Amino acid sequence: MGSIATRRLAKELRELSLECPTGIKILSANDFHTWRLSIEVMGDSLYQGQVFALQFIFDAQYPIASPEVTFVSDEHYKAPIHPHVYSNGHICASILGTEWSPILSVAAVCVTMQSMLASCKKLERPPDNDRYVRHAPKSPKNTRFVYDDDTV
Amino acid sequence: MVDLPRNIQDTDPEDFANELLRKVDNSLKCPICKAYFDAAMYSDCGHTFCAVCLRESLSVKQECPICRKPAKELSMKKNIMLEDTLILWQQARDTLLTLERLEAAKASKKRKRSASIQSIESDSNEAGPSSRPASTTVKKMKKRAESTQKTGDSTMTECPMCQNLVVEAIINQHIDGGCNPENDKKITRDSQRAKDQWSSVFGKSAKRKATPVKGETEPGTLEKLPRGSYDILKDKDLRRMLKEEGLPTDGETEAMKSRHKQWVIFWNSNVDRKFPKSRETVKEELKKWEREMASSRRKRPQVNAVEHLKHHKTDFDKLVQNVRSRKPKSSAAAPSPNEVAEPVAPPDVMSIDD
Ligand SMILES: [Zn+2]
Ligand SMILES: [Zn+2]
Ligand SMILES: [Zn+2]
Repeated sequence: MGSIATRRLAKELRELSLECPTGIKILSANDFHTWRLSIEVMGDSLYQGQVFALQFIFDAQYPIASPEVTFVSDEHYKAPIHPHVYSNGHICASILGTEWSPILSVAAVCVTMQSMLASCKKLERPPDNDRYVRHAPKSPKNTRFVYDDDTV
Repeated sequence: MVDLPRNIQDTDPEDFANELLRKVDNSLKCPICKAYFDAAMYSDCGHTFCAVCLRESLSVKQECPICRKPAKELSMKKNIMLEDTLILWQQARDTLLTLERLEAAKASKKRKRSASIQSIESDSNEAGPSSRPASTTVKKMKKRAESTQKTGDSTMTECPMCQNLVVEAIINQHIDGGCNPENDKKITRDSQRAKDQWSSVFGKSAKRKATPVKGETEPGTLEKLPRGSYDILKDKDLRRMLKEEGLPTDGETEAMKSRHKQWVIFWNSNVDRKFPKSRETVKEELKKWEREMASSRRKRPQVNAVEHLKHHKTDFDKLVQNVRSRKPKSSAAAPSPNEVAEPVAPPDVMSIDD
């Protein structure tokens, strides 16, 4: 792990341990490679009462390079049904791809995911879900998503 | 509970309890690496980063990481005043931290005093049984006053809780710390440090060294390197360029390219330092960087993207069609205070990165 990556993540973890944004909790962060956080949408939304888990995988180039972020989809957690979230947990969000900036953080990504879910008007998968999931690379960072820039 | 990695404490020194001081402290840290600025530099917009952090970011994307205004490596400028402020701040910081801690200790002492007065009063007023009868408490307080004695410079007193002799000045912190002698040592150290800090702020030792220390190079004597046009370079050109810099020439083309690229980033950022490090030190950093990148790659095996694309080309073409015709989309807004003004230029195709 890069020394800048380690220092940055140590700092982020320290801050998250002191105070997490509302609706966000650390599930596991035992090293500087993989973290899991639970996220819940606060207030009125289509996801009331549901808890999701986000997985972050960091490489040595973090935060210059974006982390690999997916919704966990296993026996405990399911990926939310959302037009930008594939059933394998891959997320089509520009800040995780071309719009990543090294000043963004784990907390910032979690909060963005919360607001992405909060603004959802219809529970549906992306229209190309089945085909994408069948052929998707293991890491969504190897997919070049096309982002529409309509604001919700 | 979350298990924090063991080295988390040493990676970040303690912060201020005071919010304003914490903000001042954080304003002197780079928004990318979150450490104090190392050769503070800014581009046209004025947002400041470490030389190496900004260079690396611009090598990926030519925009300011904060406001996303276009930014180029060539337009990077040194923020000299900020660096001077940072040096002064780092000198004052320890003093402020110690003072803050002493201030907090004083406040807790006051609290403690009024609390013990209250407890004596309530003990004497209460007729019923009490865990510590009034008479005993008062006796202990008296005994404490009597047993006060001089030992060296510090007045010693008997602790009413553990009956050990403790320096009177720290008795309340001693009790707060659960009568732990290790804790006592730390408190004593801190108060000594506060004294030393003040004398260093006003004394002659507060002056920053004007000459570079070991491992630093005389400023103004180093030259920056131009960036190679790596796409058109042949292996033998790369090898020659690496040799010129005294760097290893082993490995594949890609390894040599990224080695030289990173060297230019590290070296040019070193030249931007107020007190540049020696060539050997920067070489060591490059070596370390290469090791870290290699171990990170091993941890996460890359999908053979080209293969994947070949096999599923037609599927992906359909996918592109599909995605293009998709309308109800939102790109999640970055929660940065400065919203991206211009629309994102999406890549033309949905493809697999190589
Ligand atoms: Zn930095
Ligand atoms: Zn800017
Ligand atoms: Zn004691």
